[in-house]
Amino acid sequence: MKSTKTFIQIISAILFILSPISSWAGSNSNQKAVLNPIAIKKFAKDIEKYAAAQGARAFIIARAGRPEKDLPKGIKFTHTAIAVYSSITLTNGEQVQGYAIHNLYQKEGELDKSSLVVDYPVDFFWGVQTLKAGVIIPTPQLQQRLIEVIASGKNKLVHNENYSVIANPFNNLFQNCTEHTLDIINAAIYQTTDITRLKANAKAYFKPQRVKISPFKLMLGKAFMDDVTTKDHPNKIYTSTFSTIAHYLKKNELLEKAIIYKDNQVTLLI
Amino acid sequence: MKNLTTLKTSALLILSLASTTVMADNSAQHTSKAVKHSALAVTHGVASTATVASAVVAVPLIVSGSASLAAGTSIAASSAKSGPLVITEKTITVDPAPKMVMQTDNEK
Repeated sequence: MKSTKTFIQIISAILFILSPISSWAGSNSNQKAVLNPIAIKKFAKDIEKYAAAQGARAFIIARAGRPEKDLPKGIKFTHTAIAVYSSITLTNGEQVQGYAIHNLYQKEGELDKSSLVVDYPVDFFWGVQTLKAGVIIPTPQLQQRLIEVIASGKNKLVHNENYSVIANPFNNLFQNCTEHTLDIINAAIYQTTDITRLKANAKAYFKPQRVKISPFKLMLGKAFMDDVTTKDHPNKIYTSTFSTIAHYLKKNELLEKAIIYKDNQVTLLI
Repeated sequence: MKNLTTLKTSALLILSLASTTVMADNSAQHTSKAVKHSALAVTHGVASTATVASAVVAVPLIVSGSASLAAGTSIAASSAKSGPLVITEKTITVDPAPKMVMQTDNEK
């Protein structure tokens, strides 16, 4: 009886310790809806309409799978991707205009691997716990180049299927959704899919987010979570985030607008 | 020694629980995708004129004559040069997983 109690306490403690890491791992494609489907549907359409009103043909989109208070310091969103204004053919043959979202998602049942998946705003926001979106609209010239990279399939050439939620953006050992987005942006800027060159340029010009997690939590995360590894980090943990991408574009005069959309309100991110 | 055994047992059980969670999550994910389509179908009736439709393919739209693209590039030109873009009122979604489609078809 006593050992059972101890066992439960150990499990509870470990799950509690791991929760900040696990809450961040948000690159899943098929999550359960937590919020009202009508509200999700309206929110997804509102984001589309906001971006369309800005004339954005390609923009970086982010969702908050968890409330910000549950995320590590400095992290505002759990999943980032690129939305492209597209002609969408429906199953009945009708053609409509809207945004298709180009994602890197973790594979189901194989969380340390990823695949590239195209979905649509309502799919993108389906599993969120808070109706909050991040929108980064690059300059028109960069938008055009992003579309060219995606339309030509070059985004697939900078995909690394080895997934880590805290992937180091300065090497290609592992990749997460945000790093993949950064790699596509740099492929568009430098007009190359040479990953060595892209990583060298990221190291020279991109400033990632320091992730402060205690070594004990990291040790447990590595032991119990398939999508957590520090093998690609020489020392401290740095990773790419939605906000650091916005700062990167702003610093290089490639940013038109970076905002947070929540409760029908638009707040400038930077 | 006993403590070490307890710890090892705990670790093994946690690992097995974690695997179970992942597996349960996966089946829940499949279910959730089917649930999503059902839920969206219901909102179709509630939300006035906004309909729900599945997409077959999406082709990026560029400004006409704005780029020289390699052959084989999937891209279409739109007449709008700049300014606000047209967005459908329809809610577009991906189709459910093949497994769910087959199950639904079998139930008919």
